[in-house]
Amino acid sequence: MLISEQQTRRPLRVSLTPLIDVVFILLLFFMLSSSFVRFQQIEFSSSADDESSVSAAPDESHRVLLHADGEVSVNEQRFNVDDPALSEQLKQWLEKAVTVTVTAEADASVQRLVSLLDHLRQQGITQLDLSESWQP
Amino acid sequence: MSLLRTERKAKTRNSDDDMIPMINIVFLLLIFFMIAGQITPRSDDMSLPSSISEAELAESEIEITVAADGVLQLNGEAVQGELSESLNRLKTDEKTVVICRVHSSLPASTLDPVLRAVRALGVSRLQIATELAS
Repeated sequence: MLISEQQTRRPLRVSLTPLIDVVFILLLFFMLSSSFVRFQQIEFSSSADDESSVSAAPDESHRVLLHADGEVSVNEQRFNVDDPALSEQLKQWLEKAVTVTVTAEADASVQRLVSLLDHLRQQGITQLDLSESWQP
Repeated sequence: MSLLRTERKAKTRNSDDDMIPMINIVFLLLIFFMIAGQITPRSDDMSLPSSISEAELAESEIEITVAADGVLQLNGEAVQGELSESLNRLKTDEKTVVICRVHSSLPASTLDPVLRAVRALGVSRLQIATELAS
Protein backbone atom coordinates (compact mmCIF):
# COMPACT_ATOMS: atom_id res chain seq x y z
CA MET A 1 0.00 0.00 0.00
CA LEU A 2 2.66 2.38 1.03
CA ILE A 3 4.71 1.59 -2.01
CA SER A 4 1.93 2.24 -4.48
CA GLU A 5 1.12 5.51 -2.81
CA GLN A 6 4.70 6.56 -3.09
CA GLN A 7 4.77 5.63 -6.76
CA THR A 8 1.75 7.67 -7.69
CA ARG A 9 2.92 10.66 -5.79
CA ARG A 10 6.41 10.75 -7.16
CA PRO A 11 6.68 13.18 -10.07
CA LEU A 12 7.37 11.28 -13.27
CA ARG A 13 10.85 12.18 -14.45
CA VAL A 14 12.06 10.36 -17.54
CA SER A 15 15.78 10.57 -17.84
CA LEU A 16 16.97 11.70 -21.24
CA THR A 17 20.34 9.98 -21.06
CA PRO A 18 19.29 6.57 -22.51
CA LEU A 19 17.50 8.36 -25.33
CA ILE A 20 20.63 10.32 -26.17
CA ASP A 21 22.64 7.12 -26.12
CA VAL A 22 20.40 5.54 -28.70
CA VAL A 23 20.27 8.67 -30.83
CA PHE A 24 24.06 8.90 -30.76
CA ILE A 25 24.38 5.30 -31.87
CA LEU A 26 21.95 5.91 -34.72
CA LEU A 27 23.79 9.09 -35.65
CA LEU A 28 27.12 7.29 -35.74
CA PHE A 29 25.63 4.50 -37.82
CA PHE A 30 24.21 6.85 -40.42
CA MET A 31 27.34 9.00 -40.48
CA LEU A 32 29.63 6.05 -41.10
CA SER A 33 27.48 4.02 -43.45
CA SER A 34 26.15 6.70 -45.76
CA SER A 35 28.03 7.98 -48.74
CA PHE A 36 27.53 11.25 -50.51
CA VAL A 37 29.35 10.37 -53.71
CA ARG A 38 27.15 10.75 -56.73
CA PHE A 39 28.06 8.37 -59.52
CA GLN A 40 27.88 9.15 -63.18
CA GLN A 41 27.65 6.82 -66.11
CA ILE A 42 28.54 6.33 -69.75
CA GLU A 43 25.85 4.62 -71.72
CA PHE A 44 26.13 2.32 -74.69
CA SER A 45 23.17 1.61 -76.86
CA SER A 46 24.48 -1.57 -78.34
CA SER A 47 22.03 -3.18 -80.70
CA ALA A 48 21.44 -6.79 -79.83
CA ASP A 49 21.91 -7.87 -83.44
CA ASP A 50 25.43 -6.50 -83.35
CA GLU A 51 26.66 -9.92 -82.31
CA SER A 52 27.89 -10.75 -85.79
CA SER A 53 30.15 -7.71 -85.96
CA VAL A 54 31.89 -8.68 -82.75
CA SER A 55 33.71 -11.49 -84.41
CA ALA A 56 34.43 -9.41 -87.50
CA ALA A 57 37.92 -8.18 -88.18
CA PRO A 58 38.84 -5.09 -86.17
CA ASP A 59 39.77 -3.14 -89.33
CA GLU A 60 36.09 -2.52 -90.07
CA SER A 61 35.11 1.08 -90.80
CA HIS A 62 33.58 3.25 -88.05
CA ARG A 63 35.66 1.36 -85.61
CA VAL A 64 38.08 2.92 -83.18
CA LEU A 65 40.74 0.64 -81.83
CA LEU A 66 42.29 1.50 -78.52
CA HIS A 67 45.82 0.35 -77.91
CA ALA A 68 47.21 -0.45 -74.49
CA ASP A 69 49.46 2.64 -74.59
CA GLY A 70 46.47 4.96 -75.06
CA GLU A 71 46.91 5.55 -78.79
CA VAL A 72 44.06 4.77 -81.15
CA SER A 73 43.84 3.22 -84.57
CA VAL A 74 41.30 4.20 -87.19
CA ASN A 75 41.38 2.53 -90.59
CA GLU A 76 44.72 0.95 -89.69
CA GLN A 77 46.22 4.36 -89.09
CA ARG A 78 47.61 5.02 -85.68
CA PHE A 79 46.86 8.33 -84.02
CA ASN A 80 47.55 10.08 -80.80
CA VAL A 81 44.23 10.91 -79.11
CA ASP A 82 44.83 14.66 -79.53
CA ASP A 83 45.84 14.33 -83.19
CA PRO A 84 43.90 16.80 -85.40
CA ALA A 85 43.80 14.17 -88.15
CA LEU A 86 41.80 11.95 -85.83
CA SER A 87 39.39 14.79 -85.06
CA GLU A 88 38.95 15.27 -88.81
CA GLN A 89 38.07 11.60 -89.27
CA LEU A 90 35.65 11.73 -86.34
CA LYS A 91 34.01 14.83 -87.79
CA GLN A 92 33.35 12.94 -91.00
CA TRP A 93 31.72 10.15 -89.06
CA LEU A 94 29.70 12.64 -87.08
CA GLU A 95 28.26 14.11 -90.29
CA LYS A 96 27.24 10.65 -91.44
CA ALA A 97 25.67 10.01 -88.02
CA VAL A 98 27.05 6.53 -87.76
CA THR A 99 27.41 4.45 -84.65
CA VAL A 100 31.06 4.31 -83.73
CA THR A 101 32.25 1.03 -82.33
CA VAL A 102 35.03 1.13 -79.81
CA THR A 103 37.25 -1.89 -79.44
CA ALA A 104 39.91 -1.95 -76.79
CA GLU A 105 43.03 -4.02 -76.76
CA ALA A 106 42.75 -6.69 -74.09
CA ASP A 107 45.54 -5.09 -72.03
CA ALA A 108 44.24 -1.54 -72.15
CA SER A 109 42.88 -0.48 -68.78
CA VAL A 110 39.26 0.37 -68.23
CA GLN A 111 40.30 3.89 -67.25
CA ARG A 112 41.93 4.39 -70.68
CA LEU A 113 38.83 3.06 -72.37
CA VAL A 114 36.61 5.44 -70.42
CA SER A 115 38.94 8.35 -71.21
CA LEU A 116 38.73 7.53 -74.92
CA LEU A 117 34.94 7.38 -74.71
CA ASP A 118 34.99 10.78 -73.00
CA HIS A 119 37.14 12.12 -75.81
CA LEU A 120 34.79 10.76 -78.47
CA ARG A 121 31.83 12.28 -76.67
CA GLN A 122 33.59 15.62 -76.52
CA GLN A 123 33.95 15.44 -80.30
CA GLY A 124 30.20 15.09 -80.50
CA ILE A 125 29.93 11.37 -81.10
CA THR A 126 27.18 10.12 -78.86
CA GLN A 127 26.19 6.96 -80.72
CA LEU A 128 28.74 4.69 -79.20
CA ASP A 129 28.98 0.96 -79.04
CA LEU A 130 31.47 -1.12 -77.18
CA SER A 131 32.64 -4.38 -78.59
CA GLU A 132 34.60 -7.14 -76.99
CA SER A 133 38.30 -6.62 -76.52
CA TRP A 134 40.79 -7.49 -79.16
CA GLN A 135 43.97 -9.48 -78.73
CA PRO A 136 46.76 -8.13 -80.96
CA MET B 1 11.14 36.96 -2.23
CA SER B 2 12.36 36.83 -5.79
CA LEU B 3 15.65 35.40 -4.61
CA LEU B 4 13.80 32.58 -2.93
CA ARG B 5 11.90 31.74 -6.10
CA THR B 6 14.95 31.54 -8.30
CA GLU B 7 16.59 29.34 -5.76
CA ARG B 8 13.67 26.96 -5.82
CA LYS B 9 13.70 26.90 -9.62
CA ALA B 10 17.36 26.04 -9.70
CA LYS B 11 16.68 23.18 -7.39
CA THR B 12 14.07 21.59 -9.62
CA ARG B 13 16.20 21.93 -12.73
CA ASN B 14 18.11 18.80 -13.36
CA SER B 15 21.14 18.13 -15.50
CA ASP B 16 18.95 16.79 -18.35
CA ASP B 17 17.65 20.25 -19.10
CA ASP B 18 21.11 21.40 -20.11
CA MET B 19 21.32 18.60 -22.63
CA ILE B 20 18.20 19.53 -24.55
CA PRO B 21 19.93 21.94 -26.99
CA MET B 22 22.54 19.29 -27.66
CA ILE B 23 19.89 16.67 -28.30
CA ASN B 24 18.21 19.05 -30.70
CA ILE B 25 21.39 19.36 -32.70
CA VAL B 26 22.09 15.64 -32.58
CA PHE B 27 18.58 14.95 -33.85
CA LEU B 28 19.04 17.42 -36.66
CA LEU B 29 22.31 15.74 -37.66
CA LEU B 30 20.67 12.34 -37.46
CA ILE B 31 17.83 13.40 -39.74
CA PHE B 32 20.28 15.01 -42.15
CA PHE B 33 22.40 11.88 -42.47
CA MET B 34 19.34 9.66 -42.72
CA ILE B 35 17.85 11.63 -45.58
CA ALA B 36 20.87 12.98 -47.46
CA GLY B 37 23.14 9.97 -47.28
CA GLN B 38 22.76 6.84 -49.30
CA ILE B 39 23.57 3.61 -47.55
CA THR B 40 25.83 1.62 -49.80
CA PRO B 41 27.99 -1.36 -49.06
CA ARG B 42 31.47 -0.05 -48.50
CA SER B 43 34.20 -1.35 -50.70
CA ASP B 44 37.33 0.67 -50.19
CA ASP B 45 39.35 -1.10 -52.85
CA MET B 46 36.81 -0.17 -55.51
CA SER B 47 37.80 2.81 -57.61
CA LEU B 48 35.52 3.56 -60.50
CA PRO B 49 36.99 5.06 -63.67
CA SER B 50 36.92 8.85 -63.65
CA SER B 51 35.13 10.53 -66.48
CA ILE B 52 33.81 13.93 -67.50
CA SER B 53 30.40 12.43 -68.19
CA GLU B 54 27.72 14.19 -66.19
CA ALA B 55 24.89 11.77 -66.85
CA GLU B 56 23.56 10.56 -63.53
CA LEU B 57 23.72 6.90 -62.75
CA ALA B 58 20.19 5.54 -62.69
CA GLU B 59 18.82 2.91 -60.38
CA SER B 60 18.68 -0.51 -61.92
CA GLU B 61 17.66 -3.98 -60.93
CA ILE B 62 20.70 -5.46 -62.63
CA GLU B 63 24.05 -4.37 -61.33
CA ILE B 64 27.19 -6.17 -62.33
CA THR B 65 30.27 -5.40 -60.30
CA VAL B 66 33.79 -6.34 -61.30
CA ALA B 67 36.00 -5.98 -58.24
CA ALA B 68 39.70 -5.20 -58.31
CA ASP B 69 40.53 -8.91 -58.25
CA GLY B 70 38.33 -9.52 -61.29
CA VAL B 71 35.59 -11.30 -59.36
CA LEU B 72 32.17 -10.81 -60.91
CA GLN B 73 29.22 -9.96 -58.73
CA LEU B 74 25.62 -9.77 -59.79
CA ASN B 75 23.50 -7.55 -57.53
CA GLY B 76 26.01 -7.97 -54.73
CA GLU B 77 26.26 -11.75 -54.93
CA ALA B 78 29.25 -13.53 -56.37
CA VAL B 79 28.50 -15.19 -59.69
CA GLN B 80 28.79 -18.95 -59.72
CA GLY B 81 29.54 -20.29 -63.18
CA GLU B 82 28.51 -18.36 -66.25
CA LEU B 83 27.25 -14.80 -65.87
CA SER B 84 24.63 -15.20 -68.59
CA GLU B 85 23.08 -18.13 -66.71
CA SER B 86 22.66 -16.03 -63.58
CA LEU B 87 21.35 -13.14 -65.67
CA ASN B 88 18.76 -15.31 -67.36
CA ARG B 89 17.14 -15.94 -64.02
CA LEU B 90 16.34 -12.24 -63.72
CA LYS B 91 13.42 -10.62 -65.45
CA THR B 92 14.42 -8.41 -68.32
CA ASP B 93 12.86 -6.62 -71.26
CA GLU B 94 13.98 -4.13 -73.90
CA LYS B 95 13.80 -1.25 -71.43
CA THR B 96 16.09 -2.87 -68.89
CA VAL B 97 19.28 -0.99 -68.12
CA VAL B 98 22.29 -2.96 -66.98
CA ILE B 99 24.74 -1.10 -64.78
CA CYS B 100 28.33 -2.24 -64.70
CA ARG B 101 30.69 -1.08 -61.97
CA VAL B 102 34.18 -1.98 -62.93
CA HIS B 103 37.48 -1.22 -61.24
CA SER B 104 39.38 1.38 -63.23
CA SER B 105 42.75 -0.35 -63.41
CA LEU B 106 41.48 -3.68 -64.73
CA PRO B 107 42.24 -4.60 -68.34
CA ALA B 108 39.44 -4.03 -70.84
CA SER B 109 39.18 -7.76 -71.44
CA THR B 110 37.43 -8.14 -68.07
CA LEU B 111 34.43 -6.42 -69.66
CA ASP B 112 34.13 -9.16 -72.30
CA PRO B 113 32.03 -11.63 -70.27
CA VAL B 114 29.77 -8.75 -69.22
CA LEU B 115 29.33 -7.58 -72.82
CA ARG B 116 28.70 -11.12 -74.02
CA ALA B 117 26.14 -11.79 -71.31
CA VAL B 118 24.35 -8.49 -71.84
CA ARG B 119 24.18 -9.06 -75.60
CA ALA B 120 22.91 -12.59 -75.14
CA LEU B 121 20.22 -11.21 -72.87
CA GLY B 122 19.00 -8.87 -75.60
CA VAL B 123 19.40 -5.81 -73.41
CA SER B 124 20.39 -2.82 -75.48
CA ARG B 125 21.34 -0.38 -72.74
CA LEU B 126 24.51 -0.85 -70.79
CA GLN B 127 25.81 1.80 -68.44
CA ILE B 128 29.30 1.87 -67.06
CA ALA B 129 29.46 3.61 -63.70
CA THR B 130 32.01 6.39 -63.47
CA GLU B 131 33.09 8.98 -60.97
CA LEU B 132 33.16 12.61 -61.95
CA ALA B 133 36.76 13.66 -62.48
CA SER B 134 37.66 16.52 -60.17
